[in-house]
Amino acid sequence: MIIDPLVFFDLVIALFVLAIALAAMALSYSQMLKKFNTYQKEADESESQVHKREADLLEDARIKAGKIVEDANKKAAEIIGESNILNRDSKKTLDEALETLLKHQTSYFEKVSQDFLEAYKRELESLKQKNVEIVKNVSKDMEEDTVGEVNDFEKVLQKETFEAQKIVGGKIEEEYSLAQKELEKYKNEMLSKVQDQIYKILENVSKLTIGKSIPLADHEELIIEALEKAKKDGLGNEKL
Amino acid sequence: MSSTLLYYDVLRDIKTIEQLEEFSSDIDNILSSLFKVKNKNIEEILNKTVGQKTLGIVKKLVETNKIDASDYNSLDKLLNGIKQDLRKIRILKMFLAIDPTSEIIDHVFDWVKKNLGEGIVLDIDKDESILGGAIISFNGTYKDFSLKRALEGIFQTKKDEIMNFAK
Repeated sequence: MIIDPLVFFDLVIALFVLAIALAAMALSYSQMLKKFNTYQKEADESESQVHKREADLLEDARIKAGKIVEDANKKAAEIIGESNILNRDSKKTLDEALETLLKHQTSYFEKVSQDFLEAYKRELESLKQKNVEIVKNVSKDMEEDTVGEVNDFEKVLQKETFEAQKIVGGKIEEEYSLAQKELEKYKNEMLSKVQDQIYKILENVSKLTIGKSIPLADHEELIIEALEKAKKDGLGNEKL
Repeated sequence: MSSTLLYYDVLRDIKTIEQLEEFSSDIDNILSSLFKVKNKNIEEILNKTVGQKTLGIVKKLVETNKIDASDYNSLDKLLNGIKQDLRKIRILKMFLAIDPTSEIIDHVFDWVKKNLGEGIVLDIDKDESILGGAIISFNGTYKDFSLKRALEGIFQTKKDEIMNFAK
């Protein structure tokens, strides 16, 4: 393959320009790295100074706090000592007062209890009497109510029984009437059947009797009569 | 020789289908004997072949028509003429409750001849169930005037009256 010289020349120029651009970029990057390292060092130094100051402050604060606590403990011990003495005196006085109060209160409560017991007994007795009365009244009321209810129930029962009897009576009457009608119908049907049978028998008997009892002369008369009727009925008028 | 004369003379004594069949059979016998027997006169042939009743009728016909005793042909012609006329006879069929006496048959036949005309014979069958009267069949017409039918009609229409009477 043969490359055109003009093209080749262009390619060379392009590669050269590209190389220059890359060199410029590398230089710029190197300078930027240097700056970054400088800033990093400064930051590290500042941070170590801050840490040191913090540690100093904490140490001062711990020493001051220890002293305050120690002072406070001492003060507390003094107060407790004073208060123990005061406490013993107060307790004695209080015990004496309580003793007096207890005696006084005991006698008072004994009296009050006695009074209360009496009043309670009286009230209880009164309540008992009232309850007895109430129970008596309640029993009486209950008796009256019960008797009344029983009477009412009896009346209702009588009424219901009467109604039921009436309904049953009506039903029986109705059924009886229906049964009578059906019986009548059945009776009539049977009677009609019997009558039909009797009639048939009568007819057969008549036939038997009449058939055998006709004299010969009458037979001849009946035959001639039949011919006469047949003639009147059109016998012999047929078109041949 | 006319048909009217034949009817008048021959059918006067034939009243029932049995008599008609007997007479017809006798005629056939005479006709078949006429040319079988030789050297005999007609009277001899008639005497040997038919009964008294038919004999009387045929003799009468021979005399009336002046047929010679040896004239077989004329007799043959006469008898064939009668046979043809017999075919024209009509039948009156009757069902009766009894076996009719000859007297009853005569009366019935006379009535038929008088009211329905000549050339009719009676075909009578017995059926006791009809009780009385007659069931008549003639020229394709059927008439039931039996006592049984009349009685059934009465029993059908007058039930109440009969039942009341029975009570």
